[in-house]
Amino acid sequence: MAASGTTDETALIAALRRGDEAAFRQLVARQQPSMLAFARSFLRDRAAAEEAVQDTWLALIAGISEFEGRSTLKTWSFSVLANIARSKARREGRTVSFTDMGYNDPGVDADRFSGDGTWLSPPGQWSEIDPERIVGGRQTLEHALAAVDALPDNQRAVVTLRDIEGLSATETCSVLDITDANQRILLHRGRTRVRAALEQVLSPPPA
Amino acid sequence: MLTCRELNERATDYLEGQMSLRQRAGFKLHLLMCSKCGTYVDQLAKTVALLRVGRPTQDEAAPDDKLIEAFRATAANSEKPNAR
Repeated sequence: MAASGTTDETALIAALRRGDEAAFRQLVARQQPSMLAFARSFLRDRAAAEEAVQDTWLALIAGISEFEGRSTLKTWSFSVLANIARSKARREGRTVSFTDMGYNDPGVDADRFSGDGTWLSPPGQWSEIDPERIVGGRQTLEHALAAVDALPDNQRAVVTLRDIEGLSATETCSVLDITDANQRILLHRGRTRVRAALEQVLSPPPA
Repeated sequence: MLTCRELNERATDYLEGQMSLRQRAGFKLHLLMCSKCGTYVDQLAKTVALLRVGRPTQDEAAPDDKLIEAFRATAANSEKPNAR
């Protein structure tokens, strides 16, 4: 189901309101893996992350009849999850900073450029990813997702919302309560790391 | 003139459409002359498109009983006022 279609969204909300269990199961099945990955940006402990996701679903069940549709259901549920996970993390004395960008690790190793900033070791061709049919096989996708899982917490949160779940920049900033500039820096670093991980399997640069 | 390395660092701003017209023109000019950077930007765009496929959907039987119970209970409650 397309996340962007307003008709789909309206139909989904209506189905949930009338207690359509299949619609609920489908929603959970589709969104749960990302929610879990997202929650783990705030909570290292898997059980705690699962609990936060569970609490989010319970909040959705309780709130669906009064859901006003000022955001999409997806954005709303990730906002609720962010709040729940954040306060849980705070109780455990752990916080994830979305303003601390850490050191600037370039997405491409500095030694692949010459002193004047031109490529010494340019990117190779990715024959396995067909430009027309972007899914270069299940393995490539699995590799990309594993790279997302390995990202720093704040980058994983942004890449999950923007690229995996397709939220807009504005929606992502609102869920994470960050500025657009920070959002874009985290997105850039996250994406370039995932590209670098794909490069390792699709066109490894000469060592 | 933008170097390859500088272009790399602006690639997300370019893909996001977050550039001034002047910056965008400089970026595009570099891409016209440098196929290596073209490959790089293309790979970044492909990375995004690949991620957009999403995580594998989990089993629809997966929501645990507690969640399904809660869903049924809420649905049952909200039906009452409209009961014929």
